[in-house]
Amino acid sequence: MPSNQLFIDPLIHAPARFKILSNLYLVDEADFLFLRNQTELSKGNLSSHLAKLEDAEYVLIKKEFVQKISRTTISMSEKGRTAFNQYRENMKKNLDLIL
Amino acid sequence: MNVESDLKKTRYNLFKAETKDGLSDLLGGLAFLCLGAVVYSDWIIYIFAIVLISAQAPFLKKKITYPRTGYVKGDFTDKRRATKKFSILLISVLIFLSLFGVVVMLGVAIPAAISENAAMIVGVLFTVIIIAGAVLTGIKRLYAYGGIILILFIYGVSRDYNISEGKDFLRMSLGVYIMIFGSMLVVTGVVLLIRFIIKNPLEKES
Repeated sequence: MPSNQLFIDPLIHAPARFKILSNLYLVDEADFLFLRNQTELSKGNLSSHLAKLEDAEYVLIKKEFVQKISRTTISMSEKGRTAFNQYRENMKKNLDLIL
Repeated sequence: MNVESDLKKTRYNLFKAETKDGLSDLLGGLAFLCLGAVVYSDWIIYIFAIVLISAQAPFLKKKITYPRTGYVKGDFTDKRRATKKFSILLISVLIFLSLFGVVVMLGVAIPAAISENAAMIVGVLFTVIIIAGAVLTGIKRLYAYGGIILILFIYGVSRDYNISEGKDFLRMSLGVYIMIFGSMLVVTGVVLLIRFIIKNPLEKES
């Protein structure tokens, strides 16, 4: 990476995780099914990406039962929101450097 | 990867996911049917029906939409806020027109230019509002609603009428126009809802 380029968070930069985070960035919270429909990822794929994001503390995952049906609610943490904002800014600056 | 345009696309997709179930059209249509009935029959009791119908929205979302496409919370898009503003504007215009109708019924003199072209003025006004709503919210079917409203009022204008009867000021009662519009919304809502249910079968989360 050239020295004048800003850091691009690889955890956010992966297309699948970017899709997940951009959806979560715009909402307060969403469940697993909604995220799967919006991102068009498979169950396994979405689960593994969410696990990585949860390990990095970018998302908060809450499991609960609503009328005897399990529901996994996912929201973006403050840390995730800050990282996503930073990523947006750095991407913009890097693009400006190239163009 | 252009982050801003991707975010814009995501924002639009989120909004589209909210309106594709047809529930807003269906409930909005039923509310307009009741409002039309209020204007047509002067039975204020239908106002309670509007409140009752509006109160069903969260319940139906929970029962029909969330189990199929998932649950989401948050006032997340500019378009969603635009829809709220548009609904308020539309209802305000309807209330204004209803009050105007009351004034006419009371026999207050109206300039001839307005009274002779009232149906066309109201028709164009509604069409402009609906088209503005389509531009603001990005819901394409609103363009079709606008077009149908214009056709409805053109049909109204072409009818024989007696302007001395206050009820025929718009060549038909305003209530009838509102009820026809409401019926149109209900039919669209039902079609969208059936399509939504077929396309998104029930799925239990594992």
